[in-house]
Amino acid sequence: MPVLPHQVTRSLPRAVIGLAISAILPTAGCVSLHRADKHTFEPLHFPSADAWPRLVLYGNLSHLLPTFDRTPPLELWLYGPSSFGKTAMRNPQGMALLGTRLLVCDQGRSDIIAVDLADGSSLIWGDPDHRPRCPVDIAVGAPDSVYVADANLRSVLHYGVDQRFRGEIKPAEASDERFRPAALCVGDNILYVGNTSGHQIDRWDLTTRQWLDSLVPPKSQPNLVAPTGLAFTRNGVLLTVDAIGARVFRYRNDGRWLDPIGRPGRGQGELIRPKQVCVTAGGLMLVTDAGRQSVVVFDGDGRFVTEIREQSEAWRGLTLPFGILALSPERMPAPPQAAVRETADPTAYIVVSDSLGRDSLLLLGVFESPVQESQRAR
Amino acid sequence: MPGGVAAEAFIDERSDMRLLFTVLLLFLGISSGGAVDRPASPESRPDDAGGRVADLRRSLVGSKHDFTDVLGGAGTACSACHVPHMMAVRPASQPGGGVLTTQPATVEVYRIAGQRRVFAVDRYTPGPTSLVCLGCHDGTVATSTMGSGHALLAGVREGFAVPDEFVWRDHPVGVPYPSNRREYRAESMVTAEGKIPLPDGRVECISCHDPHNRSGVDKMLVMSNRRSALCLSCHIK
Repeated sequence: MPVLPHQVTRSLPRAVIGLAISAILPTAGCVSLHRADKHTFEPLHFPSADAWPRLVLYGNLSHLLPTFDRTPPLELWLYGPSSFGKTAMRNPQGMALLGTRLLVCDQGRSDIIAVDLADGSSLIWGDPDHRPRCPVDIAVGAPDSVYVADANLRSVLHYGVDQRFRGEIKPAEASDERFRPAALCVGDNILYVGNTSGHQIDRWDLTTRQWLDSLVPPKSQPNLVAPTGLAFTRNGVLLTVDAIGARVFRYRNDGRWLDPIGRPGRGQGELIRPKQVCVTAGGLMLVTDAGRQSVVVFDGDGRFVTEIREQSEAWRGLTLPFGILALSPERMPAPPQAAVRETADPTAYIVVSDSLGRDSLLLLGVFESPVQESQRAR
Repeated sequence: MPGGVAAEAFIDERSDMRLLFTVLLLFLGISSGGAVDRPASPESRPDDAGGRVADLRRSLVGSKHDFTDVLGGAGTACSACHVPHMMAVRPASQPGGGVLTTQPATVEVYRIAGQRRVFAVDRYTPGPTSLVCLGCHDGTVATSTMGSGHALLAGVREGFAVPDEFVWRDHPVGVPYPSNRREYRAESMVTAEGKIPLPDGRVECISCHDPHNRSGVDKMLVMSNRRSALCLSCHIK
């Protein structure tokens, strides 16, 4: 299936309507040349520039990637550039990496947007005859499958890496009220699905194509209410973010549930409306929190490390952060200049999707060990 | 009278928790008031504060916002949305010495989850109260209001020009109430009965929907829309 750029998906009637509207809406229709808004963003260090581990916020991808999202001329003419010079994501949520492409569930467009990390160009990804209606999360599974959680269709959409639609995955016996996929994760050839209506983690065996027993924490632990984020640690522990219970549950592959990380609250290391989680190679766990408007960072044992949040005038912070994805440095084909200027190489890059905020997709660098300093020196 | 958005108060951590409930209720527009300077003593709090909380809890039971069962039973009715935890955000320091004192620190009192103090006042940007709603109504925990056809410019990112998909949608969350246009009623008339809140003069989620379901009508509206009553509270037709 050929790749469809934005221009192709814009139908003529829609364009005509847009033209009419551009004449009456003050925020639209300004004829302006696309300006690559390469404003400078001074990297911010969390918790501080000399702390280990620390995270460095480089800025948003539209500023960091070479030619991020070249706005199609028609759209530019009809609607003008966004106020900060880019056509960016509208409501980015879950993310996954497919080759050099960052796949982003953009609920505002109701599409999957693929951003090439090598050159910043973007395109609408997927089968135009089977577009998702409410994509909230996405996962890539071996060998050639992409899964999209669709909250409106209440099913998991299965695409090939060639973008062809292959089918829907949903429990046959489950009513719509019992299945709302909100999070996806693939491990050991099993597709894990955070089911916020069923308050459980459903499991689909990708080999036998059968549903396995669902996962629910034991009664000795708080109830799992709304699993909106799933990720595996390096040693195979399944992390499950509970957006309502405000905890991160931990399930070991031997069937044992470890104590949850975090608890509801506004103190350090507490959570309000956590959404998704990712894990770095060094074991840091990063949780997006749409209540705290931040990313809360824990170490491998669940101890609070730092929180990435607004910094008065320097950075106005996140507005409903949602997705979070850890990339090893070799998966970042074009390291941003802001990262190159650092004295050490990050052990990981983190991309955060800010579903309602100005920055859309943020890039962080993770520095987990002082050993890195000497590596750069060599 | 205590109250106000993002209420901050100098209080002792031992203050009566019922006072905090009162502040919360005032924030939600159940009562009106100004800024908090100092906490009221327990004796000065409104006598019916506990009753109001009980009323809210009663109206919540059985609604879609009733998470009591899935959260684990009694005592959890409010905790899905309200985080009952105080956090010192700006410890007081001794003049000159920078030593922390044991005396009143600035604390955030029962702010609703997701509430922010700052937002772009000149944009179609959801305000603090709406962020609470959108924290769940993003398609994951509950029906999405971002990509759906129901509403909203909430689906538009901060600073983003109005996109084509959204121009036919109505009731943008965070839009200033157009009080100065003749096809709309005056803001004071809209809010007079106390049923339709316009936080900071803007149309937010809670302008039409009551998260506590006090009216008990379909879609958790703030009032019945029979014969377009809710619509006509704002629109002059």
